Amino acid sequence: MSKLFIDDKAIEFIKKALAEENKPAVRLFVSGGGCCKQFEITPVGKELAGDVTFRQDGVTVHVEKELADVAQSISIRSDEKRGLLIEFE
Amino acid sequence: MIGISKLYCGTVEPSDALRYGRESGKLPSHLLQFSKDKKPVVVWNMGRRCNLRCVHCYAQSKDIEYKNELTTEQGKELIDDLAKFGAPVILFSGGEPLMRPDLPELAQYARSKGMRAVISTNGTLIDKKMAKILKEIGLSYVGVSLDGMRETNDKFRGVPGAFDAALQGMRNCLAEGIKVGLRFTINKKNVKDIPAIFDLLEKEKIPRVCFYHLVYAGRGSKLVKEDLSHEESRKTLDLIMDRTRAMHERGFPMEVLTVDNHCDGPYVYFRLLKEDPKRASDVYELLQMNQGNSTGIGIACVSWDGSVHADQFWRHYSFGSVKERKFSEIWTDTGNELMAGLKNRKPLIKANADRCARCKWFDICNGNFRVRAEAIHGNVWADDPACYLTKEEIGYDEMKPQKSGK
Repeated sequence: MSKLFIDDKAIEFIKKALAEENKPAVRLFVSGGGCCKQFEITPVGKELAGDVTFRQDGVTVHVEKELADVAQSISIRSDEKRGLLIEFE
Repeated sequence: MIGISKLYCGTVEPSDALRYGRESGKLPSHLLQFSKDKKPVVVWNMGRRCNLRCVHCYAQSKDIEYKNELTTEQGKELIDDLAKFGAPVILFSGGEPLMRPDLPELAQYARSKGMRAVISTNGTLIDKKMAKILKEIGLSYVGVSLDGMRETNDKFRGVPGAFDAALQGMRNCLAEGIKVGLRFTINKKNVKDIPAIFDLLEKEKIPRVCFYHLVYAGRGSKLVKEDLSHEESRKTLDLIMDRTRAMHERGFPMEVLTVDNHCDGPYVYFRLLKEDPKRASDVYELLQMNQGNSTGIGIACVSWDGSVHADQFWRHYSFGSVKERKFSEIWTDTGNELMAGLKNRKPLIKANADRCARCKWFDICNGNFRVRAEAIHGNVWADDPACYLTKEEIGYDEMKPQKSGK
């Protein structure tokens, strides 16, 4: 994976979440498992082994290795109706 | 849900949705859940009818027509609401969901609304034609229940031939390229079959297995006596980890999960502390992200008649019906004492429980299964009796009691 793009509204959302939890970064990962597998983002204190780290507009994002390995680029955007969305290329 | 293969072996599949999207050249946008505001995965027990007669069935299903079930149109209204609410996944269950002829239509409808659609089935009705239909719908996953090898399973299922039919159903799905997983509910009578189940998975190239711990619900549940002892649970987890590691080392990196007992997480962590302390540190972080039991938060259940439950084991308690109020309204109504308690359970457990109140792993298991506490102690906020960690492991004597009386 070589690129991560986050739109302005999503950046705003993430910055607010980080300030509320007093954490330096968010981590993007696949949570759950089996039938409940989903994409999740959460404030974290540090990256985990293998994470790929990106920075944009003052926001640090650690991407789980297995997710980074299968996507060329990831976009995160905020949709007024559906909330945060993630897209892969 | 504890990802044994992910935690213990460090392997993870990114997502079925991503995998299938890549294969088809289409990678649609997906909901990205923010950890503090997760919307629930919704289990819809869409029909009570079933062609099998499982002895442990929480729906007590029979092969008869049941009245008062949600119609196709009511089902679509439910899906509209779930999609708008942001529920990422709808799991069609039963009874046997394939007994409802409108399953393909409803699953297709959920897909068209951007939801991930999966089914939990006994597998016996998935012939080649049905497998093709399920593939065309774009189902992300088909979970098939097998609770033992042939003799054990058919005894549980109450129908001879159920094992062979379910296995054929899985083969038909795999032939169509649908992701399939085996669901196995562990109890005293089938625990001996687990090694053979691993052999079967490898032989049939079934890529996922979920081992469910027993959940007994309602006071006086007869299921309690079927559950493993704590020592047996520990040995079973060790066996599952051993077999998972061995398969990964042989080049078959299947996904192995355990479900319905979050003390499995710390148990895996303890083992890694001995075997690979560096990885154990990462596993601790992953367990924190997992957030533990999410009954009433990240998992919900809608019954065949439209009743909303905290999860599929809370069938004896309804928060209301989607026939009268939207699911999204019922789910966010914290005016209900149980709903409010499940969403913010820590103070209640600290005030009512003993071990759970003093456990240093609370933030990792989130108090485990409250419905089991109710079944055994008659108190939703008491200890989960299925936690098999020792007092030493939970740091019982390190924490001061905070009990304020039951």
